[in-house]
Amino acid sequence: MANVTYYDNIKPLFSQYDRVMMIGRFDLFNYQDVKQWANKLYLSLQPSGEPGGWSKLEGTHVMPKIPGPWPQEWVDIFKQWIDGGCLEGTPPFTVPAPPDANTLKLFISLSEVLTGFSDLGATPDQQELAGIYYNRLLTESDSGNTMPQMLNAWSTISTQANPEAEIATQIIGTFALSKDLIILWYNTTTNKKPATRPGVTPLDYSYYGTPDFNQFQEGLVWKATGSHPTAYAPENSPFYWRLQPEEDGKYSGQWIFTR
Amino acid sequence: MANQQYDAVIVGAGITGAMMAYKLVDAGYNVLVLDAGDHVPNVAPQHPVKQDNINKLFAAGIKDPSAPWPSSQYAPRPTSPGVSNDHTSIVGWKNNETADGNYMIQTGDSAFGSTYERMVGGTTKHWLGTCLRFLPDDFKVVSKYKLNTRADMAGAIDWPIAYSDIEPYYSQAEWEIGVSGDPAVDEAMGATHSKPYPMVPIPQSYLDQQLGGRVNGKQINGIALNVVSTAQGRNSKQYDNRPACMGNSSCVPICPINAKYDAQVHIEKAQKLSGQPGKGKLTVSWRSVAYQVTTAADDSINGVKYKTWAPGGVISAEQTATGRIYVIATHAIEAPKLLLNSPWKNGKTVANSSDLVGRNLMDHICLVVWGNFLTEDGKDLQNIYPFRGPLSTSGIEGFRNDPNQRSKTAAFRIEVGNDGWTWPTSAPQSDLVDLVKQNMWGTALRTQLARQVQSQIRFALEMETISCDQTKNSTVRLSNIKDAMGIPRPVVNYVLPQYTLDGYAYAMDVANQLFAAAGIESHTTVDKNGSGALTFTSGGKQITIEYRGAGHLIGTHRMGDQSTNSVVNKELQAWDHNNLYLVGCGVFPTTATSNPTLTAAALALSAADTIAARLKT
Repeated sequence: MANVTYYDNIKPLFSQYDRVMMIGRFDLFNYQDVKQWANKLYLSLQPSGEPGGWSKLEGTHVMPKIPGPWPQEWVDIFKQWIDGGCLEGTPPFTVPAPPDANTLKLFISLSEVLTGFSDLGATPDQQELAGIYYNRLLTESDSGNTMPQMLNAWSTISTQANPEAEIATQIIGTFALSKDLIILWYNTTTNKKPATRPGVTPLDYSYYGTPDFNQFQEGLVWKATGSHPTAYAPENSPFYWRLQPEEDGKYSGQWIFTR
Repeated sequence: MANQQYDAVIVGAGITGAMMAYKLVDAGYNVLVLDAGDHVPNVAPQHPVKQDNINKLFAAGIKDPSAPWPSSQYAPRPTSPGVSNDHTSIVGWKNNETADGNYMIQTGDSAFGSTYERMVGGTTKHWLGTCLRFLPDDFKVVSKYKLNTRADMAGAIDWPIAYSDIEPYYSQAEWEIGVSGDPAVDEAMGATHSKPYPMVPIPQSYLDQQLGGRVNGKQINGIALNVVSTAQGRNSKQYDNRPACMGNSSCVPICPINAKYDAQVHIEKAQKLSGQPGKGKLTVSWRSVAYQVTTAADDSINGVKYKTWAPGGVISAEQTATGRIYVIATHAIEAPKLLLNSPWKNGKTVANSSDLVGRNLMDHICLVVWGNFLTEDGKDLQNIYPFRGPLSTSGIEGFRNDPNQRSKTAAFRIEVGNDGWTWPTSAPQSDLVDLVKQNMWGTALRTQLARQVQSQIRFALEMETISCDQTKNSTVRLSNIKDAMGIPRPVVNYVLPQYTLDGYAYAMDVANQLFAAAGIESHTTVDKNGSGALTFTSGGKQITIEYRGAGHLIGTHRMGDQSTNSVVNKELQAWDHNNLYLVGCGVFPTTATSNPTLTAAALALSAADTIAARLKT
């Protein structure tokens, strides 16, 4: 096979179950992670020939354990990908250009104040997500182009010692976009409407954006309620739901033990 | 394929068709399975397809049971009443055959609230997985409680089989599906086990435990409230090469890791057996829409006519599948649709000398009630942390066979939900939007959201229905309007009998008492414009309710002991055609209170044995 790439040929070989089982070490849905671990993954896919189900990677069973080893042709494709230089291919989702650094910083600090989450820009991944949300609000919610004014108002208010009253009147009470911003961070939805057709009434805030990027899984609504996104519970504490969630998120369904 | 004669032709690759195919191939017979819909395989080589389905769910605005699954205009399926086909919008559900989502045209005063999938695996693709056995009394409810002496229950019949007849097949079905459960729960209600469940129960949720701490041992009208674990087709350990449940909390509509059984498991098992020494051959033909069953001069069935489709819109010429035995395994809507489209003789359609094909459509209508769990002193909300774990892990089962009540009204079971108010209100996202619309923001918003969501609890009281003269006009008929394959679309006119409605009124009283006993502040509302809104009189009082569908498509070709009052006999063989078997929940003469799939599977396994014995001769 010519030009084996991660997005076309390799990522489809992994299931959400595979991803969740390994996510404490690396993310099989992330190109950089799989590239970095490619050689070890390749060894783990092949039986050592010794009894006991061991792979060629020392101390590791043949992967995946469930539903069982890959067919040989899959292992061969993985080998071809490594031999071809671990090409990335075209991601299904193109991250839009973020705003300038100052604007992004303002957007993140406003988002933190409005959502009640104080760490929305702590990592490069989170900053990338903030840039995506900034762009989504511009294209899906802000037909009145009020984002610059809202950030401008926030820029002035944010320097004050106790800005609560000003936020309530000059942000929440003034810019409808501020509510869309909160809903986007929590529910990952906007009020963008599908194409209208006769006899059909679109719902409020039902537009989830791009599933390929799995924005649904980033919703703050789950973190705020000690739970996890529907259909995505990477926690591997057995039967976690029988226990009360803890302060650090353990037993919420998305607490990941990092090995 | 068209010219080959099979031992058995099975229409429908849902749980009953798939299990029968597996059993017959195992017994050495050659089987053709036709399925109208697409094929989304479960196991390794097709992971990307499955991930597409998960992504489709993530992106869907309205996450109804059909949200992740494919739908083609050539094998259309209904969405939940009022939901557009693309899951973004609301559409009118009544008498509205042009709106998308309304493939199943509805003409009743209130909606049939349940839906189905048309694809390999059938509706087990989106089922919850609850695997309750019927209770022994359920098979003889009509005679035991003298319901046949009531004027409003004329035409009601017992099952032609007893619990002891089906018991070995319950065990077989539980081991085929992979059920996690506690036999002691069943045996306390008289449903004895000849074999234990293959797996220990799925642990009860924290929410179940808190509720049980409040109500266990208390009584309502003499019935003990005990929050007991529910038997479910979901792995509590690695089983059948599928992993243990990890609590993705999305059993309906999709288990992302295949810890929940779906019928594709048996299609794949049968494929593996196919052609092995001593085994039969399996041919599975998906995108193959059966639309007519044909008869020979001696009234035996001599073919199933079908057409195939491809995504680009290529429809094949008419083809005919022939076999010695024919099985219709397409559930309570599509089975009558197929039969009513099949002319027989004397102006009758196939299998319909009783005129009961397409009649007695039933469901377990659900009284859904919801509220916030309160602290012991009732002064504050208490967190019980929903939205974690399988959507339901427990029930309160005492009302399923209350001897003092069942002669008067329908019985019910109480399902305890782990999914907060998702079903009735689309929580937790709707809670967030409501709070933001009230100008809340920041830590106050986050704190309030956590408070009101983490104390959410929801119950579904699932009502029994018994087919009788009052349900004869609860029908599936053919429309003059045709789908893209040129096949008439189904028209559903859903009618509920008084016995069920009286049970609903009684269940409302029980729900109020349950909330008082548990310390739950009700937030239950009734939308008088909802698809399940219905006004009726019970006990001299006029009541308006809003019921919801349980997803249980039951009736329309019921079984019985006489050809005049039923469509199939106790072996699921059509009275009118000796080589035609109709399987699935459509054969149930009463719904009982159990989710129906396990019983449908057990009956199908039994029918497979019957058919295998016949094929031998």
